[in-house]
Amino acid sequence: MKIFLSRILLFTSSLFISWGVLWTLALNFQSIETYFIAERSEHGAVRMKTAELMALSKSDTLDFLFLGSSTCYRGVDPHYLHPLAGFSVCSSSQILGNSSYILDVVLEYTTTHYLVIDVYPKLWSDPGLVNKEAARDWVVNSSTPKRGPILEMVLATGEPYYMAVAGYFWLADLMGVDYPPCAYNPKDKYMGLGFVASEVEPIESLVCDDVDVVMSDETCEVLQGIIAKASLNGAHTILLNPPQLCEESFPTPDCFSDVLYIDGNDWPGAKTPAHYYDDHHLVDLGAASYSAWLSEELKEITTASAAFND
Amino acid sequence: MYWMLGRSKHQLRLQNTLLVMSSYVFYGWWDWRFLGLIAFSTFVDFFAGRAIEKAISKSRAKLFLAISLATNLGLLAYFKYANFFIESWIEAWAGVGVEMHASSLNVILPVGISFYTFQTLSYSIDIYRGKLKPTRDPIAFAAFVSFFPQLVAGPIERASKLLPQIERSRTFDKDLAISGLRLMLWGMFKKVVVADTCARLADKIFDAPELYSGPTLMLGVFYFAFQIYGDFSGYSDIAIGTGRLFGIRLSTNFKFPYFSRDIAEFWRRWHISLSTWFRDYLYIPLGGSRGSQWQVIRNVAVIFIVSGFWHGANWTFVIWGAIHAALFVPLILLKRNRKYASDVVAEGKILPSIRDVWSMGSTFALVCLAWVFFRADTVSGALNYIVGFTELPTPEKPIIHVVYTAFVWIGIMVFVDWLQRDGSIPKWWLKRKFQPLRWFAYGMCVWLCFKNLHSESSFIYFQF
Repeated sequence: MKIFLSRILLFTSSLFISWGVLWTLALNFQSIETYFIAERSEHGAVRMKTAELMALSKSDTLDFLFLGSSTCYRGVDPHYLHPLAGFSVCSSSQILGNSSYILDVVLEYTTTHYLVIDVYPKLWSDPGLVNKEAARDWVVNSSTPKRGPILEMVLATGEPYYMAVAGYFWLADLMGVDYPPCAYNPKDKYMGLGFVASEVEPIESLVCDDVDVVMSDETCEVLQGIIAKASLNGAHTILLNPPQLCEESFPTPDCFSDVLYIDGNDWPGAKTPAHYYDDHHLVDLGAASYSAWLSEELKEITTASAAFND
Repeated sequence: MYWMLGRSKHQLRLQNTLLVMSSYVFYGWWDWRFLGLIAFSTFVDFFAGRAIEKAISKSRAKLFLAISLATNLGLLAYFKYANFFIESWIEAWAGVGVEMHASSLNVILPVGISFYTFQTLSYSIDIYRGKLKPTRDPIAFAAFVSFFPQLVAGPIERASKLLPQIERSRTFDKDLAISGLRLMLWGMFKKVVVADTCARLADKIFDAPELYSGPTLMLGVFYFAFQIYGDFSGYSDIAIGTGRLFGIRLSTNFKFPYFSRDIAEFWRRWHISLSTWFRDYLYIPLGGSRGSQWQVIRNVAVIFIVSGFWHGANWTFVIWGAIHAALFVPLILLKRNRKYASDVVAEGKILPSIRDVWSMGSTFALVCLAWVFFRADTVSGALNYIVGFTELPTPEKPIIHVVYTAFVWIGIMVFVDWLQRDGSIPKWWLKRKFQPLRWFAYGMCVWLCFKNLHSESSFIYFQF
């Protein structure tokens, strides 16, 4: 038995050596990194939007900062907020648990007057408080250093492999290894300020099923934590339910009370199929129309707020 | 813990008790309510076995055997086939214009019921046939029925092989444990890396076959063929490897079936514990290959169709079995079913001959054709899928993007299988001078499993 256990110990050490060899090879050859560690991708443009974020300074206080999932980065174009300043750090499958960590990342570079959180109801039923894919997306593709909140987000997934990936990308950062992304969607066009235009054909019609969603108490607590964090940093929170062709019904969660709320389904074009490429993602033209409407709503809030303060 | 118990005075009893407890915890983890079912099956067969042995007459022995059969097959019939029979009954009447209303039962299929039921059945039947003495140790018997590595998806063990190992005191064997770990790692690679990669691709094609043309549909079956092989043989390897860690040798369940040169050889290499079970407890009692040609055809058809039905309560599985029967019957009638019974393809050679490649390729193609029925949800779905093979690619239905990584993983699995096709790891691979290379390969294997493990997926055969 002793011999067996010593062989196991030796084998375990050899595992780390072989993984060290793999990492060394991956740091030198992108194809090895892609196939054996993780694929750098441009889906959601996290690399470009975080590079843009890093160029901001704390003195450039934003008027609106957007957090959320793909409904947000494909639907909300902050350029429409002009002359106010907006920026979106929305990314694929980013649920509230991820947003909490991503807000910490953003606050290292800038501040905001208003935090707009995209609360797409379908994502409330995501298992776990932190979406694994969104965490992987940030650790692999973010241009920001892989430390602090990003690593905490990966740890919160509880996924050993992602933790190892985070370790690899931390090392890659340290060694200045920065490969270009090798996966991208040719129909996605990054327009700046975190917005990605989807240049795809819209759908013609869609049959909707009734979907009921309930926000769990844990998710509600996460949302309350984000609101508190924003408040501590001098920002008001606005909750934004993105427009959907097929709306989910949900009882208003407790954590929605006393928070400004905009329902994207009030946008006049919300039920026009030609604005969507599926039941909740807007095509570029739909996004333009929606963003114009949303920016008016948001500007109204700032005007009302300014009037109130006066 | 298990091997530490081996130092105590009551070594065997403690080890077996631990095996039973851990097996019940393992099974109860899925759904504790079904622990009663497995305990009931164990109880009935333990006492039925003893009663058969003690029976004063053949008819009384037959009665106790009937109790065992009725209990096991009754449980299987209720939990696995109740809804199927109700729905088929309604459909049959609907076919002649009579509308019947009956709600299907809300029955949950207990994981592994088809496996442990067959295992306990073989125990009672072997005692009745006088081939086995019943055990007097209820703990050992409970460990035999519920031995957790093979409880939910086999290999289906015979009492004559597994029970003596459980009843015998076991000492730690370093080489057996190392070979077990090696097998577990290889099984994990087959399941997590090969099968799960293929599953994602096969599911995409099988879920919407109408979107694809012939070449893509063929590719879908190809992926599924390696998904099911990697999944099931991977599970078997993990089970056998885990067994070895406990000092127990389980039966081989797969012997590189895709290197088979005809269907008869395929069935000697695929899910061996099930096919030999059907051979010993169904085919031979029916008369086997003796009797008239008609009887032989009937016997072959019966075991393949029953085998298909064993896999699931759906006509797709029955047709899958019938296709294999149709492919097997000509071989048995021409007395060519044992042509490849004793050798392995390209024995003693590095590469197969062109004739072997042709035989393996054509057998694989026929097996793949039958897999369409196994994978499809409905018979019409399977037929439409096969009809789709003839459709040429068009701009609306282009050939799907080939995922090279899947081919790399399949290639590695096939290559390693090819090297071990005589049943053992090549000696050069185990030489000391190859140790760094070997451990590096194992390290990569662990990494790849680790990389692919984040997407959760169950084993296909858990549903059976």
